[in-house]
Amino acid sequence: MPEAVRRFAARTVARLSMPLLWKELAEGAARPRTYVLRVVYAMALYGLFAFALPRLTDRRYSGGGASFPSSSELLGWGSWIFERLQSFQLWGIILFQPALMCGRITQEKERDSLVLLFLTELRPWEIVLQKYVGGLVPMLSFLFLSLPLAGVAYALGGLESVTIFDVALGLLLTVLQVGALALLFSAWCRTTVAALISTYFWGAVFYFAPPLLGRMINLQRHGVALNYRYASWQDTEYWKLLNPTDGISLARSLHAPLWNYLLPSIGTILLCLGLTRWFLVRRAFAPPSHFLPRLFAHIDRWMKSANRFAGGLVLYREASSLPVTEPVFWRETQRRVLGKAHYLLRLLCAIEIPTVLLLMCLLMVFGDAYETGGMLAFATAVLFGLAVLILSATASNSLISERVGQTLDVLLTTPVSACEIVRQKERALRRLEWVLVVPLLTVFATHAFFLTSINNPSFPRSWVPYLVCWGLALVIYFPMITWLSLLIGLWVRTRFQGILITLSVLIFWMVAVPFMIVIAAERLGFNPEGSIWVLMASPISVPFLNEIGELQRMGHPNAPDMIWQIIFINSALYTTIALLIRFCLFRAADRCLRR
Amino acid sequence: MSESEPPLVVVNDLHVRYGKTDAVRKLSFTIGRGEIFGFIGPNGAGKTSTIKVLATLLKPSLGTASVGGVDVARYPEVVRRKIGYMPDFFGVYEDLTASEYLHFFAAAYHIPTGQRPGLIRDVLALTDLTEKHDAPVDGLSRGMKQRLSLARVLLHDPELLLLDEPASGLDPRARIEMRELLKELQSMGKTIIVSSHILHELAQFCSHIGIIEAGRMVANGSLRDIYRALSLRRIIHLQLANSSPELLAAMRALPEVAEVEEQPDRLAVQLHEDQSTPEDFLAALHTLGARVRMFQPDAMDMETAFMKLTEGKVA
Repeated sequence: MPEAVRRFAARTVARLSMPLLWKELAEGAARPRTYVLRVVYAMALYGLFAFALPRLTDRRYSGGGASFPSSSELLGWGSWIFERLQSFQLWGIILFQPALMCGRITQEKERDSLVLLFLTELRPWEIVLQKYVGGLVPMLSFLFLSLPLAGVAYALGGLESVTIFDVALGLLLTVLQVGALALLFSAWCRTTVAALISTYFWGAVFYFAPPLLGRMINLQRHGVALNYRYASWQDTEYWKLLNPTDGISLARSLHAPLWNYLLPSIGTILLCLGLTRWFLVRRAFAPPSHFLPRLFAHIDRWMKSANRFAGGLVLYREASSLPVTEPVFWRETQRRVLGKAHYLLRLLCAIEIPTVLLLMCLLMVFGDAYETGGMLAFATAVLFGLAVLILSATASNSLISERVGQTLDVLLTTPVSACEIVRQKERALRRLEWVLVVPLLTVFATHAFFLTSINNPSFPRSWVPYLVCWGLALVIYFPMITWLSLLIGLWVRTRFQGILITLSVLIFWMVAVPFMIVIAAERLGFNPEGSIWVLMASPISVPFLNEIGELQRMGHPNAPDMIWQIIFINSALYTTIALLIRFCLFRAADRCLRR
Repeated sequence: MSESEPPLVVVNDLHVRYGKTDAVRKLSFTIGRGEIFGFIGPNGAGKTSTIKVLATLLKPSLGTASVGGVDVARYPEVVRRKIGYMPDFFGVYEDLTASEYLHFFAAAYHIPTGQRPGLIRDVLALTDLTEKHDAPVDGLSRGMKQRLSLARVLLHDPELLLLDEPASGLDPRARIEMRELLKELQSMGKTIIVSSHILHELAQFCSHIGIIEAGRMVANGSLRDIYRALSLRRIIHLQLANSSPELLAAMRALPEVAEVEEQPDRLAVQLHEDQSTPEDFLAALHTLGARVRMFQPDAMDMETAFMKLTEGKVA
């Protein structure tokens, strides 16, 4: 064999050894977290499967059947089960894949080891691809967990082979797409936390903005809002083609070549990987962006120049610029971007003005009560979710930043006690709580106004309990979320862990718990709507039922006082829980901070 | 320290455990007022854990530690007023200016508001940071950040300074500046515990040395005591204007001289540290009629002592 060929073969073999992928997999295998996540995922998947089966037939459900369906009853329901599995897996990918992928490159940057990779013979493309595959493996292992369930579904019948192919392809492409997007932000951002938040934010924009844009264009094209519902359904479906599962559905329903409809999603995967390669080197040593401080400084300059026209009017002047008695509170409110009063005021405007405009558009565009109520509920959900996200991330980061910035030890050797540090941090966060409450109150006030303007004799709703329920929820829940996030911040050591654990706990408590209660109620044979006291195990249940009007339906007409009982018992319950969390927070402060 | 005055720091059978690992095992030592105690040991020996116990950041698993007669585990809030702790990392808020940073800690130490500006001016002047008064901490060099940390430590005029690797990562100039600053603090009568890896620097200003390995104190005392205990030889580099075989033979016959090695441009004399001092040896040379052109005692024996006492074990 000629020497050149031998050298080429040796080089090729060396390249195919994929050392970075090997390292990624070895690291993953050594982490207990990998196995914990896998077990949690499997438990959720199999638990859902076990609990969801009784709901297979509406007849059984409406008949209050509690027992598990017999084998013969399940025959032919394979397709239904398979679809549920697909939905669950899709949500699993959306929630887990960014967290599994976004630290792949940022962690190398944080450890200063990316430069060492550049010094090896690994090319940037190899680094990108090996990191990408390394980040896909855990999620693919999650997907494989459903294979036995898919086998059961197939055995039950009603499942065509083309459906299996479509679902498998859709899930695979979604994993690839979400993974590529997360890896792109991992290459762009400096820290894992920034990459995680960017992936979720831009991922939401990526998947939801085109369909919303399509809706708006359709509205404009059809002139009036009411006609929107009667527009051709393909008009809106085409806007969802970035989502591979929607692409497959559309291709199948139109009997069109599948790959033509998958081109947008495959194109975005390749684009993301290409951009990752582009940014890998260019953003490897990116300095800290200080995005928020720079943004606010820019706004400051702009507002100062604009203020000349108002004759240098000063509406609010910051108090003393040096600390007097509470140094931690002073720093949090005078030197942190999300603590300064005038910056918070601007943040409030940045949320409030679009909220008001959006609400005005909603009231004008959507003519019927059903659509308007739905859109207001949607706005509430988005704003509430955003508020919880901002508040929990800021609160948990508040203590972790002292640990990460290595200032905690120094602070703890001063006469300021650990409890006092936590108390001052918590006090500083109250400003943010109020800023986040205002836009939500605007939405609730709009909804209350809307309730006074509609007249539905079959289902009358009063605005008073509606507003009281939400008002109490905000007053109790926001401090509770702050205290819970601070408590988690006491225990964890990194920002990434802090945000991930805080959000996981909140999502589990607010979303998974009511979902599990409803499923369990069905499994045990009682009506979930009648089990309001059990549903109170989640803080979001009562406000949610209030938002969709179910709370009033329960109280009307046999027990008109029932709604007030529910509201006040829920408030009392969560006030107690909130105070308990606060008690634990201050009790654990000294022990946890001095670890 | 006078004989009647009780020691400022008393550590008695201190034991620090992290899970199953014993970081510090039965450590005992005392430090008198005004002393500079150099804490030496390999990485993982237990130096930082001991300093953290004294700084009230860690609770001892067993044993006791007290500062000025106050138990650190029982009355940490009292001890915190007596100590100033400087960790081996910067521990500075990068979103503040140098003076804001000091004002922050002045408030944390409950220093009256009226006294703060003057006090901050003084500590900035002492640490040679006056012109960085309004400079953002973010923009300071590593050495300046260390000096700012030292300024912070001095704000409340503590009795005891706990300095964990204060010269770590500094360039030679910054290291020399830090050393000079510590000498100045010594002259102000501060008691200082300083851990470091730069042994010959510690040897220059520490009145006492504690060598710790695997959580145990292997040597404790003044430098001279340690050298004597180890029978260490100090090397003195000599150049004589009238060097001759007879003079060299007379020199070798001196009881404190262990060995004389002839090098191309000098003589390397190994002196028994426990039997004589370099000054006595110089006087003996003059008595022998030697005309000394160069007399340079080697300061590196601290490293010899360290290597002899430790085996590279960690806790």
